[in-house]
Amino acid sequence: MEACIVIRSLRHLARHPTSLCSLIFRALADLMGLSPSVLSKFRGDPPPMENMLEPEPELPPDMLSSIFALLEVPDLVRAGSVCSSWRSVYTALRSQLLKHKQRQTPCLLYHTSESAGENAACLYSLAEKRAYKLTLPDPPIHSRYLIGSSHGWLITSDERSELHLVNPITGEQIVLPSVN
Amino acid sequence: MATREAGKKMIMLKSPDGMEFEVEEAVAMESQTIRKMIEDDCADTAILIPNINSKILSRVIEYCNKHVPTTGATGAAASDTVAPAALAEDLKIWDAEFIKVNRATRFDLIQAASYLNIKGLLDLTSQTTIDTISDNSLEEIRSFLSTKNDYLPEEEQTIRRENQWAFQ
Repeated sequence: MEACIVIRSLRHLARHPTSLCSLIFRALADLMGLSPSVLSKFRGDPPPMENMLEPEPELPPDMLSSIFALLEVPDLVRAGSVCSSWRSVYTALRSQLLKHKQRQTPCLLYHTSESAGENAACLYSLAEKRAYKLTLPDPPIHSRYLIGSSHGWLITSDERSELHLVNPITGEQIVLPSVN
Repeated sequence: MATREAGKKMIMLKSPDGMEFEVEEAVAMESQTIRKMIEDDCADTAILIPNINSKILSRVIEYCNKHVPTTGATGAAASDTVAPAALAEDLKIWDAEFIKVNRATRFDLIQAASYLNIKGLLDLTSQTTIDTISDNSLEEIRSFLSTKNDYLPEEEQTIRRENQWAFQ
């Protein structure tokens, strides 16, 4: 009975040389008192887990900020959505960009045809040579007059002469006190 | 005291891991940070560069060696015969080869270039990173830069909705 088992396991080892190998190493380890980590080097095992879980390289926020400052507006908005740390860099940078001279190529903003919706406007990126459709908050941008723009904000006046400040990139809107 | 004829003067740059690099003063002065130290007489013949390991420092020196104006450098004769345009083209090709490094090395180079204030190197390394961001989707940016998406699905939805136009 015992002999039978030995023969069977020997057959198994003959078919699977690697297990034979590890059996020998295990026996050697016991004989020589080697630690498993030393053995794994000889056997060519994959490196232990801690090596494989090295933290991914990351740039510190100030470096990231100076790189983001070079991006064109649509790329900047997309980069700001990648992860939470990029988002905070993007948010901080947006307020800084206004103070300094902007390097970004300006975008053109224009009304679209009625069919696109009353709240729709078009943003044309000169850098990318393509248009993006924006959806702006109420009241409908089609019914408003564009009075001017400054620091990325539009000043609009609706049918009742109510003034709004609207930021087309972020969709933020500030209602100015009523003139009536 | 650093003077005009300091072209051949040698400076020792030391990395925090104990390596020493002997470079021409003109090469070291490609770094505005080091230039300032030398001009302000704050530098001895040896300068310790904290927080830049020898592997990165050697690459930075390699870059400065290539980009130092050729006058007074070893290849002085060559600059007389080669047209400036060809020289610039040659540098561009060299830069493209130089920046073919993994992400970790590139990020280290960006930080080194920023600390040492080497504009050319900072522009080169930053531009390479910008190229991976420009015209790519969020998923592509995340995979190129191995940036982890740490948003909950609903948070990502909100952010995408707020900036919906940029994802058309």
